[in-house]
Amino acid sequence: MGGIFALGAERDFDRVQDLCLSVARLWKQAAANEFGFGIYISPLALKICCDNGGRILGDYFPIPPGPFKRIATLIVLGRLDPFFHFEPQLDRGAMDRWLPKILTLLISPGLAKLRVNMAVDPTKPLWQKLDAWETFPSAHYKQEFFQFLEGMDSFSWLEGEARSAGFIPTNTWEYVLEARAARMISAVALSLESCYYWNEDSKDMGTSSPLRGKCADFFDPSDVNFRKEFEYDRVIYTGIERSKASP
Amino acid sequence: MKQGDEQFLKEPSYQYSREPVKQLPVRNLPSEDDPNVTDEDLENAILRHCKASANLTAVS
Repeated sequence: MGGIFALGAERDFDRVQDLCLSVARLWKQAAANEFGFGIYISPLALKICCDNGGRILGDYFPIPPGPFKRIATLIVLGRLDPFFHFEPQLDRGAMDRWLPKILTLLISPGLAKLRVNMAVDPTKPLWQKLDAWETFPSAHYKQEFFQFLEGMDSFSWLEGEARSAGFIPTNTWEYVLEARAARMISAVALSLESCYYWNEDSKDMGTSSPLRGKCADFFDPSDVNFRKEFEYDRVIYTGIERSKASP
Repeated sequence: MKQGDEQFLKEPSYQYSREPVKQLPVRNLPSEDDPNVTDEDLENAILRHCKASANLTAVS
């Protein structure tokens, strides 16, 4: 079923780690000083993510999985059991705000690392790259996506109470956690897929739509910290451009 | 509500119950990782995203 969450693939961990390292490298180069923390990857947590990702994709989805489900799996599992961590350590609130933003940076390299077989005849593969991702359809969508990830919870902390109260019979808890994760992966995959098609088809940024790009009241221009965090991608891009201009 | 619509309003005569569902009934375009993608390609993909995302808001 190919790499990136392919159950049993020996090199899959390396491929997922390459994606994460590309984020950590650019962050260090362009944004770490600005925001005051570095991005690090826990190999142990990433290994668990790869094992769980391969199992969930294999158990709950057709094989081989589609590209959006693979990247959605990386993002959802990276939220539920984080493999990214930040140093110096952020407080809980900052960690919850930043993790979705950093995970979002995995979308474009993750899709670019994949290809889909468009062939009707399986003996004559026709590979198509997935390098059209640029961004979300609107600033509001981007913020909602962050908040969706921020609120995502495996509810693993509930296990002790649920068991002691007799809510969950033995042997079903693992199923509950995995089934919930699979449905979260489905939701994120649908979101990524629709955004990808929008990226392929339209770059008018909402100027022709009566709705898209018009919701702005979530964005308080006087909230400097919110604005700066929201535009973390601008910091990365301008930082890299600046370093290219003056090597 | 239109006349006669009352016929559509009634409680169900049965209980809806579910069994655990594992395989989600979806089919995919088959995909795999592309061995020709380099680290530089990955970084460029991130920068494409950062550049386009930065343009979502006019605030600078």
